[in-house]
Amino acid sequence: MATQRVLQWRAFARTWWLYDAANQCPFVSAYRVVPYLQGKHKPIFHPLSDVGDHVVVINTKDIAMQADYWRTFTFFHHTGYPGGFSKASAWRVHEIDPTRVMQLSVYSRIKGNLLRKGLMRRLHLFPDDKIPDEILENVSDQIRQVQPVAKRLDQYSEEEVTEFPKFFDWPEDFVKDGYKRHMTRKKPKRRYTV
Amino acid sequence: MLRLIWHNLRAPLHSAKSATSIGSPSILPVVQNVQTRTFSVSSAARLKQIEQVTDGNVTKIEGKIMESERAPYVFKEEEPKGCTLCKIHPYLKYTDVLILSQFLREDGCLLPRQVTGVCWGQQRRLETLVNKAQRAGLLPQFRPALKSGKPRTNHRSNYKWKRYNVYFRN
Ligand SMILES: [Zn+2]
Repeated sequence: MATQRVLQWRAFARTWWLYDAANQCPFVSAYRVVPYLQGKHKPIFHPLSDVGDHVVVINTKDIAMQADYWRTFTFFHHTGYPGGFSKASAWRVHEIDPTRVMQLSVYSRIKGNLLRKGLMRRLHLFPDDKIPDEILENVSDQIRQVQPVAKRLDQYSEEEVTEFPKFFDWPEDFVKDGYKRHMTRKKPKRRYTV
Repeated sequence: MLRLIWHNLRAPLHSAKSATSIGSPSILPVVQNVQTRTFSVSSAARLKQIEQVTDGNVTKIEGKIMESERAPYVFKEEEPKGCTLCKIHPYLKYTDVLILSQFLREDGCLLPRQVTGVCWGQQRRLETLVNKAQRAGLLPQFRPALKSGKPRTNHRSNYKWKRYNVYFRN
């Protein structure tokens, strides 16, 4: 039965997935990506059978962090030798290597067993959407993004902005530029009390 | 009592000084109690834009009456009670930039409640939401001008951690 043999191949073949990380949180995306690396999205999954897939993550330089996390979130590292401790905030790590934050967040999401290194080898990270052709030709499907991307005001057309229902009209006797701030105003001197 | 006597003594001195000052060209008499008064010929109840035109020595400051550009798109209130934001859309998000931009001045500051007519609680909510939208870079048109006077090129600041994408939970 040739068909059975082909079905077997198809079930255990490694498929390649594409994930667009633009404007996505790296920590939330790790929750979405890691099951694909482990093969947990397949009905044939078993921890002893190696059925994980490849995931190609693009646009990692455009990932989004929540609120103040670029400044406050810190990554720690220790070489194992005395005085080998180092730490860096997320924006600094991202500045040095734009794929590093995504890589570390996926790495920390996977359980620390012997499989982790092999799973990380199947994660392919790219800072922008330029992928080598030998990788792109393998990709067969894409993984859904974890959060909707907010639209900027300048991305709306002018008609949409003017014709959007307005919540109030300018009150009577309103001077249009009357509430302009004076940028050249001097700051008031601070008084120190002894 | 002492002060009164002192003033009485000083009074003739002052008058003498002022008398001399008129004659001398170096010291000009100081005009006191200048009353500032507003004046208007027609009724002052419409949207205005102040225009300043200088023609030689003459500067003309005029409050030009304009037609409101948002008049045809304003919600028509059935019951004029409470603020419009509470009635129509009380649960705003920071991504609702089409609504948030209505409550802003040109430089991105929130207009006062006397102008917009929202209640105190919604004004506080608007403050936080506008702050979030500004930090996420969703309102690039409504930003204060640079101190150097140059036009802005990017919708986001270029400073260290401020140049990367930011999102908020709610
Ligand atoms: Zn209200």
